[in-house]
Amino acid sequence: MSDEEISTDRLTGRQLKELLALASTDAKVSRNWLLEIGDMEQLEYLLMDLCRGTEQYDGAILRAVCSPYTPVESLMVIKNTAKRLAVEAQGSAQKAAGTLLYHLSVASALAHHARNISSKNPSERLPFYKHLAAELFDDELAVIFEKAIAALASAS
Amino acid sequence: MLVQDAEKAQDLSQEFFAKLSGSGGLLEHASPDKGRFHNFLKQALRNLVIDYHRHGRGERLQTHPDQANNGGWDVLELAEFTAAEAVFHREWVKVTLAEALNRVRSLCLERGQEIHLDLFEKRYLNDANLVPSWDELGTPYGMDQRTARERADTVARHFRFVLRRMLRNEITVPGGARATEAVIDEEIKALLSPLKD
Repeated sequence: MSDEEISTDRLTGRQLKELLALASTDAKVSRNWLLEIGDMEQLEYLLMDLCRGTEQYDGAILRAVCSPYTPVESLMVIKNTAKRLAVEAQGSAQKAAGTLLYHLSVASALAHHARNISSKNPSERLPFYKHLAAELFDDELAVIFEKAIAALASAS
Repeated sequence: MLVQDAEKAQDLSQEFFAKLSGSGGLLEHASPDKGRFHNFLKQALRNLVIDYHRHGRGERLQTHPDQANNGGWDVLELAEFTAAEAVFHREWVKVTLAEALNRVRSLCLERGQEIHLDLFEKRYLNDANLVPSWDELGTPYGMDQRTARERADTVARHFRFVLRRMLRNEITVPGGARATEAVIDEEIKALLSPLKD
């Protein structure tokens, strides 16, 4: 790997096509939709789509779930709402958005309040949180899981 | 490539950029209401080449084609511009992909994902005609093929997200709405289909 900028000048048509195909969601390969969400903007868009026709979504939930100042009680409400949205979602991307919001609310409670708001033992979630912290595209989302990992480590 | 002469192509490029950026130039006429910006640029470049040939500056076309071909200008121009458009399209794809790849590279370096990036680059950007196997790629890092593939897939996911976001910002949807994922997939298909191996 060189330090120079990547140049596509020498790429063949086959390579250009392969790269474009990588960016398509049409490709018949299995995807981890949770990681495909990408960033806050995309998550917010999917949540808005998920709530369309049933309730108003103005972005406040996502801001609240990432904030260290949101009370545990509110995070519990968000967790339950997220669970319902994920269950009711039709598309894979929308289902993933509801699921990610669910995990964010549980991780946020652990990270910011050292409280477990799930019936599951939080230590069981550790490998999953490590995976999300490493693989999520958006730092703002990844940091919630990083903080949850740190909170779990200090509690054990 | 459009005029098959490097020196003339350079002169035309300078003329094009002068027309693009000068006072009262092409950029002042660009508007999202008129369609995609790259289509506008393509059309502007096409018009310049038409102008170039019609004013007899292209030696290849100094003989009037009506005298030699049944179809006259139309036949000549269709063949010429189809090829020119293919070249322009390929260059457009290359520039777009290079921008996305460089953003992804910066992101990976920020995150300490140098090995992930190296595996991705060796798999997708390698000069070799033969694509290395995941096994071959993983061996120098002591990884099995599955791990090597997963690492490269992480970068592929970053790339997918970055490129789709770039395309979303470029696509103009009537009413100013956000381009849907399906619209972006259509745009990718439109970029893919004219490319030849």
